[in-house]
Amino acid sequence: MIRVTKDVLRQLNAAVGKLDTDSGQVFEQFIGRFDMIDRLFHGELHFADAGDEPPEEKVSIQTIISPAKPVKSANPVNITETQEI
Amino acid sequence: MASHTIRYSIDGSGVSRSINVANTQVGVAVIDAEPVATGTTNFVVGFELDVSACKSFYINSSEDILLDTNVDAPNPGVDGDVISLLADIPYVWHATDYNTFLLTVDVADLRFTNASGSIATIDVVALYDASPA
Repeated sequence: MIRVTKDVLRQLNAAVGKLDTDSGQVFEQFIGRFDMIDRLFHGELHFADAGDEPPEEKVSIQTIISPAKPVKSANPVNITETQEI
Repeated sequence: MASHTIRYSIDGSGVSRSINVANTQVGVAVIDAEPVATGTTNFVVGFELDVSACKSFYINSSEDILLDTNVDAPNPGVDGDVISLLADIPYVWHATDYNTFLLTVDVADLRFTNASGSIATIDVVALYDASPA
């Protein structure tokens, strides 16, 4: 069971029928239900065997469903002003 | 004029009752068996409703589905309202209901997101007071 936002669901829907580079299978669909408590879609990813002629279009489902990595903040820089007397 | 009857019934443990809540108004808005394919995000269905004039409301989906009114509503009550509909569990409201109406913002359209894995069939019936304010 995974939980995704509507935006991620939209990306998953766009990935339907493409070859998942992580599993080597064809992504079929996300099946789930919206949960009003956390406001996320809870569900499962469904894949199919790629067969002899896998689709040319590729996608990484793992990348789509992975939460965005927080941007690392730059180290604070101490600025000291010197004043010549 | 149009009349709507919402019927409540209980049948079990020796109790069998059926109670009708009827309403008659001029305005009617209907969506009749609208299909929403699975894998659809924010599928727009034309439907307008002044929620303050609404007297009776019924919506049902044959599959689990998310309803967003108006634009994709990140702030319910501001942009629109969000209702998570369960398969064949209708949401019903009428003007004498004990509960407040879940639709709080006037409806310009309905947007459905279906991740159920099956085609969802949507029915909506709304009765409203169409007399001029």
